[in-house]
Amino acid sequence: MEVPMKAGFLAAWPLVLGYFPVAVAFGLLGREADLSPLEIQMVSLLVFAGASQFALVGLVAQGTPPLLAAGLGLLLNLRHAFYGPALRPYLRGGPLEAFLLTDEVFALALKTLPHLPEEERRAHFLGLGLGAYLSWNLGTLLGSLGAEGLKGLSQAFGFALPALFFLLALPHLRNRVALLAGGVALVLHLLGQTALGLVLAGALGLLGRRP
Amino acid sequence: MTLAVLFLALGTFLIRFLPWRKPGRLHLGQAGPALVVALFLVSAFGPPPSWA
Repeated sequence: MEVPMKAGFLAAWPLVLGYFPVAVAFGLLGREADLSPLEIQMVSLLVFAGASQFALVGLVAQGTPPLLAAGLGLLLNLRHAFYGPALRPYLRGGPLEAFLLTDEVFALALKTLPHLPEEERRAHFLGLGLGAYLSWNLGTLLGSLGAEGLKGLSQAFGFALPALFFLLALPHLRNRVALLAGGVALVLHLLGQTALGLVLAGALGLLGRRP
Repeated sequence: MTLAVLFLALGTFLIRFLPWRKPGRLHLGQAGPALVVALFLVSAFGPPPSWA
């Protein structure tokens, strides 16, 4: 593994801490929905987008036609359309980078990439994404095999992702456009419209001028 | 189910890939910071978006 990729992989530890227990919960949900371990693992291996994976499996378990459930999952993922363009000043997106671009990888990359030499950015990003992807899939595997004992991890490490987002958001907490957009997202989140709120936050951010 | 998983996987990939790949005339302004702050506030007041 190249040095920048290794550094990115190691820098992914907060994501690993946050992803792993959630992925275990996803694997357990898949079992409750009567999916085989192979089917559950295929979802994590191919989709790698937590919210839409939970929506797909949860809705199918309730009797929703799978293709309709997948369509609703896609709507949840529309917010991801903003992430690549926001990273474009620092990194050109290829297929592999795009596949690994989750909410958390985006937020961490936006913080770290601007401070890295241009030639190291791609490998660092891939290391970050690889760490996240491996932890997500390992957690899914253990959950799908019925590792009930790990269920408590979701509560024990529930703070990890909010804490990570807090650190990443700190430099932007004086940015009025970002605060307004965040406020809108929060209100919609409390109304049960999380994905819509995040899409609107991205759209509001478009209106602000780059400092 | 397999078709649905493939549909979701391909759609998600295209949503992530196409806007990143093609430099448009879109000026992103403060979209990056806005999304990071939104992700923090949303995760602080409920499940993180990974599993919301």
